Amino acid sequence: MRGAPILGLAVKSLANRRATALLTLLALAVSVMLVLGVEKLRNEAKASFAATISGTDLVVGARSGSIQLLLYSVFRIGNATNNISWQSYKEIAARPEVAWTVPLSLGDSHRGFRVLGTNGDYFRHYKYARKRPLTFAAGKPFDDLFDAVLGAEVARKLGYELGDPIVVAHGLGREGFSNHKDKPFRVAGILAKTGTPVDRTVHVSLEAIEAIHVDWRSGAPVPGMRVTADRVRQMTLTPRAITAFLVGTKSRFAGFALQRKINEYRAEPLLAVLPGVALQELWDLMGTAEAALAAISVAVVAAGLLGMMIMLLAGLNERRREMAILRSVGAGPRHLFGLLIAEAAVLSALGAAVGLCLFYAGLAAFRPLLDSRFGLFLEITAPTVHDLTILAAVVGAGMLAGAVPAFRAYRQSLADGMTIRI
Amino acid sequence: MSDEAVRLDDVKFRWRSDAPPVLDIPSLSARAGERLFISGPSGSGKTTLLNLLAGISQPETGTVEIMGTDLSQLSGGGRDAFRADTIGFIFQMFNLLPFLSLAENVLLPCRFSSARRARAAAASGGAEAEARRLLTHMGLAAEVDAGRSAAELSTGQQQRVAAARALIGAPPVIIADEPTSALDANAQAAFLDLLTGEAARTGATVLFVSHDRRLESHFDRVIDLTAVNRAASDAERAA
Ligand SMILES: Nc1ncnc2c1ncn2[C@@H]1O[C@H](COP(=O)(O)OP(=O)(O)OP(=O)(O)O)[C@@H](O)[C@H]1O
Ligand SMILES: [Mg+2]
Repeated sequence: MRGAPILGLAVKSLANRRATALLTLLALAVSVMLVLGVEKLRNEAKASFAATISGTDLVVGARSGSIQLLLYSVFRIGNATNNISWQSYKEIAARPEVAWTVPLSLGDSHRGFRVLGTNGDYFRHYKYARKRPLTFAAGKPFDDLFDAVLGAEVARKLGYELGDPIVVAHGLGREGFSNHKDKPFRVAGILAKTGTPVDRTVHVSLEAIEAIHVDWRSGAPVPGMRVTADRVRQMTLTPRAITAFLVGTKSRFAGFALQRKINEYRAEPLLAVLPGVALQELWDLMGTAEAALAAISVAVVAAGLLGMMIMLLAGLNERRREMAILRSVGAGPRHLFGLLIAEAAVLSALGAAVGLCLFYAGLAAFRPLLDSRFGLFLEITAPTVHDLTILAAVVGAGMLAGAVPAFRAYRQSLADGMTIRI
Repeated sequence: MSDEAVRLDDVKFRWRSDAPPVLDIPSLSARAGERLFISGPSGSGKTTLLNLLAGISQPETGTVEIMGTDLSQLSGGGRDAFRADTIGFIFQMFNLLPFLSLAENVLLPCRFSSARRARAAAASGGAEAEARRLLTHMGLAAEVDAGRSAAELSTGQQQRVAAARALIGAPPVIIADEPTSALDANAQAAFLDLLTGEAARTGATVLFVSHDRRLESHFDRVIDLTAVNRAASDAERAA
């Protein structure tokens, strides 16, 4: 007979003030949605980030920073400062502890997507997430010199199908006026979606990269030198250099030893990194931004709760009659304290519930956009323990915020007694 | 002693320690079942006295006894619970919570007093049925059936709902603070007949304060607050 009657009154009294109560609730719900959204993005981004590359023991490039190497070789962001000579690559690939290698040659682009020169081993050995191999949605690996294999997103965004011709631009310019128009490629395969930068990559053979550059020197076509697509097929197209390569070793221990050997390689300055370690370094670099994002979303919830506190405080004065009536029928100051706490609890619990619904609605609405624009695939899953903890914390903080108006109601009812002041 | 429902002895009260006392009453009592009319001009301390009787304010000195219980012996929460069990209260106006139905307003005391809920249930087979009976008795059956809210009632109708609320669960003491001052003469008489009639049925003591002496005829005894309150006569002498 003590707690329940007050809760019932709290709900009805709030319903009576629904205009302000609804606005307060909405503000709270939006803030809860934001927190849940930020948490989801944070977790999914981290997970998808960590899933970018797997099963590779070493990433090797010209000597630079390990994060830079990871960025250009795996994430296809930025450029290499230097190349690796074909000879050094061959030497390392032939070492006994090496199980496989995948050469990577970057530098050209196609309508905003990076073009990667590699070989058939890429489709055999590149793994992502939990050692998942690449699979083909259509077609097969390149066979002919001018075959290209598209990442899922390249094909979807540009509407390419098997057999379509594509022209590669020199460098990374969007609609570069310098292009390799004379040597068009043909779409031979389209990869299944991975949620990694592979989706945004156009894959061609190393020989093709060499072929489209035979009549180019230092980034420009050599005047008067025109090698046709047919003639280039007759030429020897061994690459002179590659940008980076991936290494799989026969044992984990061999990986560490090989890393040391490559880093001390005498013929040219090279850098070998363990992808897991470099990924962690890169993620740590973004840690501050991540923490700032979390702090902002917490501040938004605090603002929502503050709004609720203001609404309850502002209402107290015009509710003096309500309080006096309640006291006359036997309510004590502590009941009025409880009434205000109950109102805060109801508002914040509803805010949390509506916020959760808004979060799922927003997730459903923005999922395709996030997927297509940022390659971030968000799964709709049941609330995690972490989410539920956040919701519980919002309700707890809401009741705590309710203590301020509750205490005022307590004091006010002691001062007013049963006198109705209007 | 045992037939006294209300008893005040040497009660002094001031709102602030630096203000002169509002009440200084050597003795005041009401027998069980008595209908007592307390008159006094505006500002004479009538509402203040009722706050003391209801256990909401505490006297500086002296004792307030209701149904044999010395209120000063109870804790704050104990006084609230005692009020819920023992006293039906009617304000001058604006008695009802606008967000509750008429029946819910009548049932409010039962939320805070299981004793009154039990007595109400015993009277009509259920607290809700008793609320309905009282409202019907107050001539409000049509309003209840139409689902009217408190805001849709006339002042006189609102006061009758308040009377039903004060009466539900048969509290031994009914306290009314000028409940008829906003009503016309006919409505006043009808209201007082209903209130005192129902109180007589349960044997409740009625304490009714008003500055309007024309209502005296409905009561067993009349007390002029200025006559029993030394603070008031002091103030008058000073004026
Ligand atoms: N909550 C309060 N705080 C301080 N002083 C108060 C308070 N309530 C009443 N007073 C003072 O106590 C005195 C008595 O007031 P009270 O309300 O008891 O008069 P009343 O007889 O009920 O008057 P009315 O007929 O106008 O209702 C007044 O001088 C008033 O100013
Ligand atoms: Mg008064």
